[in-house]
Amino acid sequence: MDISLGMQIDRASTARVDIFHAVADANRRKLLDLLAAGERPVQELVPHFDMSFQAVSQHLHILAEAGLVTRRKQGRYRIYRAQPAALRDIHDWAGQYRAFWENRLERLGGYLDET
Amino acid sequence: MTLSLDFEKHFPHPPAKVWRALVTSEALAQWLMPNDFEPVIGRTARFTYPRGDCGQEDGVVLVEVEALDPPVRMVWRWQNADLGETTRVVFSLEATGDGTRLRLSHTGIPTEQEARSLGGGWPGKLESLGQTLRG
Repeated sequence: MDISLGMQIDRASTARVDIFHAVADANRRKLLDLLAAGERPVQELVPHFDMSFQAVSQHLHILAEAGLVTRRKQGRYRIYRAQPAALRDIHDWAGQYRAFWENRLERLGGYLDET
Repeated sequence: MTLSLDFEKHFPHPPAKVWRALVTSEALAQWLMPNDFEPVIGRTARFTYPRGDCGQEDGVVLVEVEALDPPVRMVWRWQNADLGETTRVVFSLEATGDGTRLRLSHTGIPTEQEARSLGGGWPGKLESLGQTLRG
């Protein structure tokens, strides 16, 4: 497949995928906003949401899987921290369109080959 | 300020076939997004994308055909209803000895700073992109 791009893609597409899934949810974007102000334990995040502790934990888990936040244990608390490098990635608007079209042109190629 | 993105891809198929995939609603649904597209200048089609797991209605991209020159060139006015940004997508086809070279330009994309000021409206189309890439 010969795709040439106006801009260089420097991250594996697998990493992007989970980032995009992670930020597709409004609650997880809000969690990122809260964590952008500094690291916090889950207990301090829950009051900002109309959700259970378990639900917030689940969203944080998805963010961690995507590499958008890291977690560490401190006593009985789990402290979450946003990852600036990954956040920069999702703020790159043009990068999102780039990934979108790159993917769609691949699909177009597949469609043409099959029909 | 806005940015432009340019893509170029070669397909081992004649221009007429590639063109059909760009202007047929069923084909566009296969490779781009569900839509009610018709290749008529001035007509606005609705392309939809799932917004992910927040239980919301699908997101909408309004696509107006601004120029249509089969099987060589097509221009879309591309407006994401969530974001209010108006961009343009230009498809250009060129026959090569063994197929078709497609050039796609997406112009008028807001810069990073403007994108941030758009607030919480992260595009759910990225969710579908994610699902596609995972699938």
